[in-house]
Amino acid sequence: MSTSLDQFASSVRNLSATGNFEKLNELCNKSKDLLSKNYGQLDDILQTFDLQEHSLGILTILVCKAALDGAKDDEALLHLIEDFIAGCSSEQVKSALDNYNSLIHSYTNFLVLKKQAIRGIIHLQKAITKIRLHQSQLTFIHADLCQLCILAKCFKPALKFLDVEINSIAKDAGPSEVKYFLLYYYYGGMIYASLKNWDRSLYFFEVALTTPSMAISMIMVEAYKKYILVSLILDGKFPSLPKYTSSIITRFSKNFSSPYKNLATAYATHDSNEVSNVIQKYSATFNADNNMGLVKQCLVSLHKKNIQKLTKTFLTLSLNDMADRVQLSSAKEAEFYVLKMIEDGEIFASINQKDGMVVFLDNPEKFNSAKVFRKLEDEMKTCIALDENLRKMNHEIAINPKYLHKIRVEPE
Amino acid sequence: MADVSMTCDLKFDVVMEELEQKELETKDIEAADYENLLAIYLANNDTFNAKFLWKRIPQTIKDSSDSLKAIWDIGKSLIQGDYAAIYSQIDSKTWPSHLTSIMSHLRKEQQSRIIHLISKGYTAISLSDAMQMTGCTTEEEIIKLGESAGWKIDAPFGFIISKKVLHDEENVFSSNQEQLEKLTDYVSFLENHY
Repeated sequence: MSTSLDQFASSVRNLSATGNFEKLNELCNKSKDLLSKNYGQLDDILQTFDLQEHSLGILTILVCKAALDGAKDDEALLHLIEDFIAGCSSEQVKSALDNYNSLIHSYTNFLVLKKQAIRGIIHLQKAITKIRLHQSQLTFIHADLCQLCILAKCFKPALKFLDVEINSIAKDAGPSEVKYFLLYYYYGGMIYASLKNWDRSLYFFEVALTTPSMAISMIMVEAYKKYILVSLILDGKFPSLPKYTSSIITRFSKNFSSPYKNLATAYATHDSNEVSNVIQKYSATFNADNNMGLVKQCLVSLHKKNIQKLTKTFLTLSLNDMADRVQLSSAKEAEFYVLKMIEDGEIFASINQKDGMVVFLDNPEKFNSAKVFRKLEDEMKTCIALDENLRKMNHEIAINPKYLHKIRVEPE
Repeated sequence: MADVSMTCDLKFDVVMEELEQKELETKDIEAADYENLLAIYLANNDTFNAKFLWKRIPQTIKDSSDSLKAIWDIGKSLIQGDYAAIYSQIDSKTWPSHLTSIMSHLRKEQQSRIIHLISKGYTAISLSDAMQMTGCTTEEEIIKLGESAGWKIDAPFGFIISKKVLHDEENVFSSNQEQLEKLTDYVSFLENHY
């Protein structure tokens, strides 16, 4: 082993022992060149390190190994990374988030390329819990977990993380942090859409879209398309962007959204034939955007919206009439839709098979039950907690030196 | 493979979590595990997770297991709302021993879900439709079932279902002590901040 490598190894050992992580990270980052040049001896050094005690040294070596060509086929390396995630010292890796995140991103990429997405889910779950300070902190590897879950078609593990409201971010010094922030919300929106949790899906796409920006990102473009579709499915209308959306998004959104805009216009006519025609016309675009599934959901939602509209006009209606009015093929299909909607609580109605009529009812909820009361209590608790959080953040900004400096320089 | 033949309703959730974990660990998961998990999802009426599980099961395992395909056929009927088909799909097959208890559980769950739905969504339903949707094979059976659900027989047509006032099942308020504590919290919040 060459002397400089020896020096590296012994410095890592000394600095780890004294707990001087700042200096250690500096050393590690400086030694990356040296390590890459001595690829053959890296394994020997690894042997001399302990997972817990010398996490930062191991991390640097793994980052170097992962950067080499053909690393994805190095099964031993993948195992090393997995063991590292399980055994590394959380305190140490928190001090080197940029290296840690980049290692995890490489690992995710390898699995994506190898089409072994499901294998990584369990390791990424661990990787996230290693570095986040508390549950509601977003890390830049959340997006990696979501990506693997989507590719593996296994969403439950991601939901555990997505369902938690985020109120802080574990920042690293890396240049691509915005990308992973946007990706998290984009993938999250996709996962919720797959599970037909439209509300939450819309919210996730909206966060991606309204992220303050000076330039437009492709992730935002795709999020905007899906945002339109989910809004159609959920609310039946073309969404207007919130006021705080960056102006560049509002300006450029028209350039790429015209097929989607046309779909929304057709939807607004409440005529399902019209919608089918638009879908037909732009099917190439929708397919190329991988949005055909959502587009088709729009048609289903139109039928439902039309049935819901009927409840505003009629008290009773025969199933045959209903099938005519919402352009369904038969009374049987109308009955199927109505029953499905009753089951999901989307309308309040009852079917009388004897005379073939549907009776529309008022919402039976009188808002006087214990259940409503408890819901109200929960909401109030959430609001109080939110207020508390805002207050704390506000306070942090108020004593931030940079902020104080800025308002002193520009008193207006 | 997890042994589920002896478990009762509540334990299905535990088994489900075990199987989900096992799948993520990607070690020695076999066709029987997938069969159990898929059937449990269906018993919970969790068609989304069932659908995605089916999509991610490796093709080789799908090809090797007839039961798996048969379970997914039930899932398809469930998604399409073809309730009548579900019961015959369950009854017409002899399931391997690890599936028997889940399958009878699935049948029971499906039936009680449908009875609830009929009570909620119909004021009158024909005897034949009610029989199909609940998977009853004889008129006596459906009449007994209907009566136990509180439906009135309207021969020869079927059942008349009067709308009951829906009972709020958890209509119990928390204790006074707790209530008082919560109110104190609200007031102190409002007073301190606004």
